[in-house]
Amino acid sequence: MTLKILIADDHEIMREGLSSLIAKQTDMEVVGEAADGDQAIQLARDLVPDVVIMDITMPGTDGIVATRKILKANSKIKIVVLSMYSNKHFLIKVLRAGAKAYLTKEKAFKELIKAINAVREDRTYLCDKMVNVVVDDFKDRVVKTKYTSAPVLNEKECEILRLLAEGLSTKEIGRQMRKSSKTIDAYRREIMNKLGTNSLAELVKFALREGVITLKE
Amino acid sequence: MSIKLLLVDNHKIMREGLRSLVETKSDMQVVGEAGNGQEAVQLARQLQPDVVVMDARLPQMDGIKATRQITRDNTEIKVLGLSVYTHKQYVLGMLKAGARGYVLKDYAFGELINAIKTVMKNETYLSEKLNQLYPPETLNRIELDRKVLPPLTERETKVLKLISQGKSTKEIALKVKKSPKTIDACRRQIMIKLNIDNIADLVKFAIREGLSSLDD
Repeated sequence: MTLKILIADDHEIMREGLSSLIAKQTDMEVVGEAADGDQAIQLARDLVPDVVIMDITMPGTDGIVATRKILKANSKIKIVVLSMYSNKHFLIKVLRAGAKAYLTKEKAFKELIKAINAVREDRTYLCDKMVNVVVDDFKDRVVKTKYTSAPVLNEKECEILRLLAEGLSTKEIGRQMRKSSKTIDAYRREIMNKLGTNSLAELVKFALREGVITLKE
Repeated sequence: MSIKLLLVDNHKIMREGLRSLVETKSDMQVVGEAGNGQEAVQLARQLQPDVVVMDARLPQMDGIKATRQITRDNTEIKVLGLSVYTHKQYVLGMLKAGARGYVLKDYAFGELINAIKTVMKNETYLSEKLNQLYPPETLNRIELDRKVLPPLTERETKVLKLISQGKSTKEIALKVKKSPKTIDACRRQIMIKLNIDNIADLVKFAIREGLSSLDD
């Protein structure tokens, strides 16, 4: 019974490379490719794959939200995360969303096969790097109270946070959102207050941890 | 006569995928793979490929330095950047270091094939998105004369680290025992050297380079 695989990654050459490798496997086949989270959700619904190979950082809807929505619609699908990033914040989010496996892209294809075979038997699979991330966090157990309670930013604040983290000045943000620099400054102070950050650097790091921006930009 | 390729990327699964795709082409073959800049330089010298497909960001000697060394030591070898990064420090960095082109991973394998064939004809190739971001006029204005991008001094690295930890100019000044004016000048110099014009990008650069983590 050939395993049906859906690939979700915003880099076309990555999708093609994976498809080419999977084509050589006799017991699995690629039934579809998605370039972003929304496409992944739709194709998962239409094609009903057994496994989704999911990238995390994708434009529009990311892999974390896509994982959650796909599993909500069909809990039998297994999600194998394949990402450039190995930070624990992504790992926590994606596991909470229901992913069964997580590998970084430095790993070889044969490890991806191992992960796919593990999840098809309903076993969780983490590559060694991610196991270390978990172990370190477990040993560490220093709870950073600043960031554990999800601070509620409204839509405008979220947007301004993103633009600040992308490096725009208050003036540029003001121009983009058709507000005065003074207003943007007030928003920024409120955002910093809500998040408990004291500097732009901390704001940028918060944005990176939450996946509001990626290092790619 | 098949085109000999050396693939350089620290993502093994990417290299394997590319290799599998190249196998479908009769006019090219992968003669080697490297996972970091140092290996790339060594293998380029050993295997003398026609084209090195190189990611800009690599551990143990980045793609830019490796490109510089490879093109300096082997003038026949063409280096082609293949990356997810569109930021000018990578794109322009690679080109200044001697790369003949830069392709984004957003595009299909077919794009890479075109790029390889183009650079084999001694022409330059940039993915369409990059042509828009860095139009030929900008490229010409910047001296593509293979000059070495100046590395950050020890103090500049220290200051950059502190900036990315969220320390104010005053706090940094106290810490390194210099005046705030000196720190401001230092920061401006860092930004000039790195071709970065805002703090947010500076912080992201520091994180990428491992000078700072998401949690400090």
